[in-house]
Amino acid sequence: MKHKNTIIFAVVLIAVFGALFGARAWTNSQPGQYDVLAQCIKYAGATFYGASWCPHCAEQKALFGNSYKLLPYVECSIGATAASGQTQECKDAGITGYPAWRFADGSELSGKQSLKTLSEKTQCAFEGTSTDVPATETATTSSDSE
Amino acid sequence: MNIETLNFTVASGALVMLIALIALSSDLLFMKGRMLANDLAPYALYGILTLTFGGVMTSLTYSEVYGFIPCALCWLQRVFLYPQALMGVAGTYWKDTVMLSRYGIVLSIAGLAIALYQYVYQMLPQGSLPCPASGVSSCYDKVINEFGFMTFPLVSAISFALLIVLYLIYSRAHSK
Repeated sequence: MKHKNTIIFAVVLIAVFGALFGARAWTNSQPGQYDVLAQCIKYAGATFYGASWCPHCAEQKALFGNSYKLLPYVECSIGATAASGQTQECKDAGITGYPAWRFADGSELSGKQSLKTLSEKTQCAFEGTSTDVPATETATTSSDSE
Repeated sequence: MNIETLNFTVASGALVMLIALIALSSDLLFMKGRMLANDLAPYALYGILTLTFGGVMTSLTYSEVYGFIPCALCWLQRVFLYPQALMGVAGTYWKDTVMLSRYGIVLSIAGLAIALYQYVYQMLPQGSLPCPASGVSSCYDKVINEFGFMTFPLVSAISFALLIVLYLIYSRAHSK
């Protein structure tokens, strides 16, 4: 066959592309590793404010793996773009950056947080050797007036 | 399509392009194109057109549909990619087999250098400063972050490198 190598090459590339999507679908169907932690954070009264277009929010969700669906997430962006504006709920909450974590005691952490930090803030048990980054750039505020 | 699916599709496409890049460049370097590149030569121009228009459409989709604001380095990469789409069309129309490859390679080398610079810059340790609600962008931001290493600058670098290889295949075929 004249173009045997070309055909094999094309088939391999298409197979790789398909296999990646297959692997992703399989991974997404698996239970989350941090389901208990994510649920505990939710029941502890914490709220995770984020925006769909913010890469740090995606990184924060990625730290939880498939368990991110159980987080108390509030989408602050009205549309898919930053220009589309902020929801009234997030404006009322005074959210100026994403991701932002609000806790039951009124304190707040802004920026991507490690699972360890979140577990400490919510008194939720966390056992693991996650490779999440330490929360080096955080701003903590307390709303004592409430 | 939600942004997670789009990111994964783009990253997967880039991974496939990376495999193609390694296969084609190895073939050119060690086999003088006998295994693959010579067979693909008649289709190299279609590859160039697909890659450049695909790059333009992808970057515009992110900025104009999903609202990601391109950072300064992203704009520089656009500067070196967008003309290549028009050059590809003009080169096809005028049946240019010489100058298209030369100018394309020069533009792609410049784009590749900037993309690699941004990739290294992004991979350096950085803080976790939040995204401002106003949506101001930073070249640190990893809009795509798949497979632990695939970010937008790397997608861009792979595209520019593959373009260089395709231009080489195209010019080799017509210089014989």
